[in-house]
Amino acid sequence: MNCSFDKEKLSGYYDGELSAPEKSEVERHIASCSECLRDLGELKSAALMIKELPRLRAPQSIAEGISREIQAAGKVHSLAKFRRLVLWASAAAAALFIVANAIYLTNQNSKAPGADAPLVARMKNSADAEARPAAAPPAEAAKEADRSANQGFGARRQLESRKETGEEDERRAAPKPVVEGKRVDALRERAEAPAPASAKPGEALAKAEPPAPVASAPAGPAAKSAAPLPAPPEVLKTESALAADKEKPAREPEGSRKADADLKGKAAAAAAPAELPPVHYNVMAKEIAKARPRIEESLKRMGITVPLPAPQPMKQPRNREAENTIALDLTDAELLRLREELEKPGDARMVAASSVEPVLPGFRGGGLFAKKDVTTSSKAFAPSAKEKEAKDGDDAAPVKSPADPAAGPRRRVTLHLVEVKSLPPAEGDPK
Amino acid sequence: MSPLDSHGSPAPGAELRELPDRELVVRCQRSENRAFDELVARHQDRVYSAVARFCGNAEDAADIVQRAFINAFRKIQDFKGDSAFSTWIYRIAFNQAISFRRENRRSTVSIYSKEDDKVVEPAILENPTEKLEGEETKKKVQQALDLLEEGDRQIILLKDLQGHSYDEISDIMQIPKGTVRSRLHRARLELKSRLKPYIGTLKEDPAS
Repeated sequence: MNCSFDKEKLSGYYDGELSAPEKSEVERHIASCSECLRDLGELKSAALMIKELPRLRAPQSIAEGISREIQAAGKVHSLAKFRRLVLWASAAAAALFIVANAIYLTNQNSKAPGADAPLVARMKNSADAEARPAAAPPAEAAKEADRSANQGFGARRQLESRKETGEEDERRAAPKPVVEGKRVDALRERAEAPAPASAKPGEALAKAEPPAPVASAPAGPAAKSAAPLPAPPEVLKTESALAADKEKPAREPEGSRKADADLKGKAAAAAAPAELPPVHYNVMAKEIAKARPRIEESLKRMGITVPLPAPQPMKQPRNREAENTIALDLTDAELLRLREELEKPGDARMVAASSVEPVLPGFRGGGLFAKKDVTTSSKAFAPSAKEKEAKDGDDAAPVKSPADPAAGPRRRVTLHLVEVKSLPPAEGDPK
Repeated sequence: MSPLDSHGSPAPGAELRELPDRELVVRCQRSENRAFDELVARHQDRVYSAVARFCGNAEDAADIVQRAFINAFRKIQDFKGDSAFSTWIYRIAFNQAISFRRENRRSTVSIYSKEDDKVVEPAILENPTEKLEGEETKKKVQQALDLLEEGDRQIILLKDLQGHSYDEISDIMQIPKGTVRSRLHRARLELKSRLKPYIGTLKEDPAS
């Protein structure tokens, strides 16, 4: 115990963990120090007591327990994997659904406000079909007709009215601004006022207005099979013959109009002169079958005969759109009277529609076009500055008695008969 | 043939027996669970022996070793291979044992029954020299071990029971090599003083 030798080196020596110099040092020391030699012996004895303890065999339960646990963990792992997979798949499906919806809605939104593009495309199709010579193979014509029939009610009707009046409008739009739509109070105002006064000398059309003859509208409903438009003479007439119209009555004589009635569609419409911008009305009735005779009756009382629908070509599908479209040349007073008589029983209503895109019943009252209609109609029926001037100005032009509803300038009135389940709420009804 | 080998553990594929621990670990990391079975089969007896001597209770030791291997399996993806698998599993097992004893706060109960001094020692894997004669000596050695401080006990078991080098013990216990040597020396001295009466029962060990 008196030896100051680092005894830990004895353990290291026994364990063979000493460096060579340390080992030599220990060996030199124990050769001369009996105490350290004894201690080394005791350390060895203690180590041997541990070293010679029996090794124990692990019970079987350990490996079994581990194996069980590993299998369960594997199952849990697989389950977790599966759950993750399901979760990801669901998330992916949901994302796909949302993206698809977003794309769909975006497309819908971009289409909705200006449905012009598809409409124009449809118009083109349809126009092509009409422009096809009558000698076109019957199979092809039938195919075209089928396609037209499939285009849907609204689109077809818009198309019809557009065909009927759009081109006509184009020609007339050149000399004066296009005003469309109508409002009933304005109509009433105009009806009560003295017949539209003659315009200034510069206003060829108004000036040339002759005493209104019997107002029998010659224009037949648009016919799908309308012959190609005899455009050149008409264009010539409308665009360049304003001066000539000063001498010549704007409205052609009865005979001439009758001849026009034989023409179909736009040809007839374009030929029929009308001084005021054309207007369109959706005549919404619970039953067209009842509304139509009432219109005819009312017009008859005013001395106007309703033109028969243009005869349908053989072997063509029935064109209800053409049948349900009535084009008339009416004064505003006549129009007002017609409206009042039509609406009196309460099962029909006349609603102003855009001449370019007659408004579908479903869009009335808060629909996309409601605002547009209000503005256009107010424009249409507010007397234009020129008209006011004419009213206030000289009485050079022949003035009709205000009591005569047939007096005054006429406009092309296109009535679209629409059968609806319930009538739209009255809007801006002056009554 | 039974799916269990002679040791009672599931018999892994013969080809796995030829592979070093490192390769088995890599296979475990590729989710080849049979490779882990082989690792268990290779190391469970040695780990169990050390843990059973460390905690002095056969049942607890079985529980601890099982948990240690399961923990190792769960953490196998984190095993970087910087040290041997044996080093790693010893570290996990001893940490598990220390936590277990702290949680259970049970007195150190010898693997030998106190009541009747009846040996409840589990099946003996080997008793190479049969130098310990008599159950009394074995019991006293285990009791002396149980009285050692945990770290010292762990070191002396790793060195004298398992034959690990200082470096390996340093790695397992995450302590410096010098500390291993000093603590080992201290543990031996303490053990010697407790077992002095029984040292004579050991055969003379030549100093060579």
